[in-house]
Amino acid sequence: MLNLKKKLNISHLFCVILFIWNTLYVIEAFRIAPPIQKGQVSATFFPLIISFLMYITIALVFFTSYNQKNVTATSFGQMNKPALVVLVTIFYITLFKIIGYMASSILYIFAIISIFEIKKKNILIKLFYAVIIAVIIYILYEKIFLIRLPKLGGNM
Amino acid sequence: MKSRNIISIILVIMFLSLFSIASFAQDFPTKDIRTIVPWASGGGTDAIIRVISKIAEKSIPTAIYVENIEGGLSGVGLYEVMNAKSDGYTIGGFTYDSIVTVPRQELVPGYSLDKVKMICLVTKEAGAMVVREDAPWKNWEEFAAAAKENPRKISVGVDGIGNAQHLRLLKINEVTGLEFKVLPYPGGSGEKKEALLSGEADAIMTSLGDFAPLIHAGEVRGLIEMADQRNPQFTDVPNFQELGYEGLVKGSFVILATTAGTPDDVVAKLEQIFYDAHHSDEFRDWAQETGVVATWLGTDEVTDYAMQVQEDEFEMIQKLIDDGVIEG
Amino acid sequence: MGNLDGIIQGFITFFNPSVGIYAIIGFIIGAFFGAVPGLTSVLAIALLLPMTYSMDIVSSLVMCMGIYMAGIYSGSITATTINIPGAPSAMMTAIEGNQLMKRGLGAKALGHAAFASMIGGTIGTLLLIMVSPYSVKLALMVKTPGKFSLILFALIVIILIQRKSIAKGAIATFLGIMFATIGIDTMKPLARFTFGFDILVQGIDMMSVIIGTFAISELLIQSGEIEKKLEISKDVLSKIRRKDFIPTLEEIKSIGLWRYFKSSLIGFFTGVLPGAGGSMAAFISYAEAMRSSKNPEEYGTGSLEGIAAAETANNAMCGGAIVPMLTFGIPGDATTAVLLGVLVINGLQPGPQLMTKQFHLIAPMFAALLVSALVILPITFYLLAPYFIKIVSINRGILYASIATVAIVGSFVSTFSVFQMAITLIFGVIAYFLRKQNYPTVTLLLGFILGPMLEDYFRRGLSLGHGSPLIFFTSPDSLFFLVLTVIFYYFLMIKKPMIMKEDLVQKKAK
Repeated sequence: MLNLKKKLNISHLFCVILFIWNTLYVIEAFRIAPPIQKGQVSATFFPLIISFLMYITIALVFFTSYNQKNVTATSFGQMNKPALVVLVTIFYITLFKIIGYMASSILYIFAIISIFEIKKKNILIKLFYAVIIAVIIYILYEKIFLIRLPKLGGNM
Repeated sequence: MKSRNIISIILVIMFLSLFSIASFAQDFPTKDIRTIVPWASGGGTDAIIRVISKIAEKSIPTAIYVENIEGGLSGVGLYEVMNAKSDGYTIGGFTYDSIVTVPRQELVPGYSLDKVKMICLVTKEAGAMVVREDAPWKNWEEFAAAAKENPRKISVGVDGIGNAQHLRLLKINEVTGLEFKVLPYPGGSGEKKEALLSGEADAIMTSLGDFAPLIHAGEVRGLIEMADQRNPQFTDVPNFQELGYEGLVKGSFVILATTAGTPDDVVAKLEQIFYDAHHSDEFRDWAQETGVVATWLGTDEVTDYAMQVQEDEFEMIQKLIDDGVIEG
Repeated sequence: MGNLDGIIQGFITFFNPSVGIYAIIGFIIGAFFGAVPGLTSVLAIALLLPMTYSMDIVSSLVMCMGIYMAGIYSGSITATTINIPGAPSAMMTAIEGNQLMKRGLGAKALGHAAFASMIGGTIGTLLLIMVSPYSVKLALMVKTPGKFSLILFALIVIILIQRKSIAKGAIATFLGIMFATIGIDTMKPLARFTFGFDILVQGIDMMSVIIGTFAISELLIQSGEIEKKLEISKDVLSKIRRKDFIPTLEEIKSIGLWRYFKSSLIGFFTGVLPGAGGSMAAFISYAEAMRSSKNPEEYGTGSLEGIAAAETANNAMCGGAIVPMLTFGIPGDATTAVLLGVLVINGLQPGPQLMTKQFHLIAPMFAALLVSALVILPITFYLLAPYFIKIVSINRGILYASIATVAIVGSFVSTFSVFQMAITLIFGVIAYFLRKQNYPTVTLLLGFILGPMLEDYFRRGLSLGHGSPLIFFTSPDSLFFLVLTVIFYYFLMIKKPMIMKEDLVQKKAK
């Protein structure tokens, strides 16, 4: 928990991030083309209108966030598992084409089941579920819909 | 010393893989052929490639399967073809955009036609202009006269600004001296049909095949085609050539190509497979029914044809940019 | 199309068991694809494309109709039970349905969703059979400026119904619109907003956004709340009987027959308008129901009325979207765009002549759509409903591991791109933080879907008006929707400001 119970809260931090994103977006827009070229709207005219509206609404949220009671305090302890899920998913996506669908999916399902479990379970049982789920999805795509999923050593 | 060892190992592997490719070619194909359509499933190009590969599949022991990989106009999917193994098991469908727009605008870094080996051209569609049947202009002459009287008043729908059909319209402008109000409909032929029927656009740049059902039903009329001979399915639609305009023969096409470096005999085998499919009654009947113009150019001619189209179009685009008609 | 003989003939063909069976097969495939997050009915039909080529055309069309109807309906199942809409058209159902689920009234919510889908699907199909020539004419009256204002109307209203967090709703919408601009410009072959990353030229696929914002973000949220007990105790679940799923006459009466009919009309005409699609149909109908409701304070906390309005409309949309596709070859939504491909690959060119000369091929399709909605839907619901609700009693690790895998592999299957899989994850993370901060993700998705259309219509509208934006105020079709926007603004913001201030509306967030 953050003890700095001053005026600024996590909601403000979020606004700042949005502000930075929006500013990057505007810079990128002007790097591509001015909003109006030769008297005609260009590819950046419409996006810049959206950015403009975005600035206004960010400011609105920023200045109304001071006395918010129900800001969900996102403590970092709560973020452990979601972060782990993200990390595992990154590995899964990276390995997907390299070691193929089957091996990567079994590992992934196994990892997610482990992250979600409250009581420790037998590794073999978890592995069993992982294999079953991976095979079912494989049958669905490969056998029923004839989609080629990446295979180990395949030249996809 | 070590590096020399590594080099020799690499050489051995390369030699072995060459050998394995060579042994491939005799009984190609031994596994399924992946065909990449760089557009969404359900579109016109998608249909052409799916139908011809389905027919071609019957003459080989393995399957030919289609994957739709969209993005970057047609660039993203075809980039996959360019970077596949040079074994002929990955082919892609190239259209006007893939030959002209994507390389010209450098939309996909690393995209280069040098990385593909073209197998054949299967369909060709001339550019055309259509109007509603109840439009006040009965033929091109009346249409042109009206456009001359009211420059920039008559609206013509094209695909996107700087895309194929817009460029064709600009070429018509250049040759005929007419000027139109340009309306972009980048969402495909459905959007254009809607615009024409709702009266939002007075005319549409398209191919006659795309509007075939509406033409046959008497809702839409083909005004003129950008061809040098009459379309066998729409013999009453004149073309610019016969009306005495020069340089107004333009259109799109579907070309099948595989990765560059594919052994010649594999390419020849692929050409044979698609030649047979293309000349089958099944394909011809299908083309006839759906308004697609089946045309054949083999491996010997197709690359020259595509490169010629690219050169001509690049030249034209450069001229339009120099004249300030469009931006680079 | 008042071709009664043809229709009857179509039904006779359909009831030939070798044809009718395909409607059931299609329905089951569609229900599965619709319910599973990351799979949609569009994908199902696209995957079946190669198969339809070797099948008889009538059977494949019949199967597609089963998929279509079921895919739209079954999105409501996962939306209600686990708060992940299986299809984007079930977004609004998730908001209301999952609240009911948490209160132990999941059976009620599912029952009403199925009932509404049945009514909507049936009325939509009947309208398709009876009034399609006229409805196309009506749709053609809405041109580019009108469509711009329609989309604008939808986006403004979705922001307005966020009540307490209107500004946050707006931010999420803008974010969605901004993300959609990444890639190639809609009008010109020009790469934009790639931020120096070449790979971004390919843009962000809609499937990635849908899967990321719904499935992956829910996965992340759930993983952060593992210690939390199931909201519904197993006792409640085991007590649920089949009859609990059937909506009572009283409830239906309180929702009102007129509401069902109105929602069907809204859904049907949203379908007929090319481009809009199921999520828009559900959304507009939901907003209209909220505007005209006697109990608007219930919305967001589990309103059966809201579910009924959204589900009636999205299924009525099916019949509507087929109208312009068959009559002119103009697809009404994403599914009908793929359906168009099914027709073309099988050598049929949709157009006025298809409807007259080859009506015998099309009529069984109408029969399939009607029977799917009116008969197959309620029967499968009745048989399977108790299992739907038990999804939540599956071990959570196994449930979410399966969802995550199907969703991520689904994003690969629909794009064949590892990059889009990565985008899926990124959107999951973005949506996770947005939800943690009480930003509505539904508006993010609507912004992403509708943003490019809004820009398209805006820029073409300017071309039409020779560069002047006045055209949006002088075209009658555009003016109509602008006035409608003002009316909704009046009802949602001025006439009922009381509700907005009330604190009892705890948003569904968390």
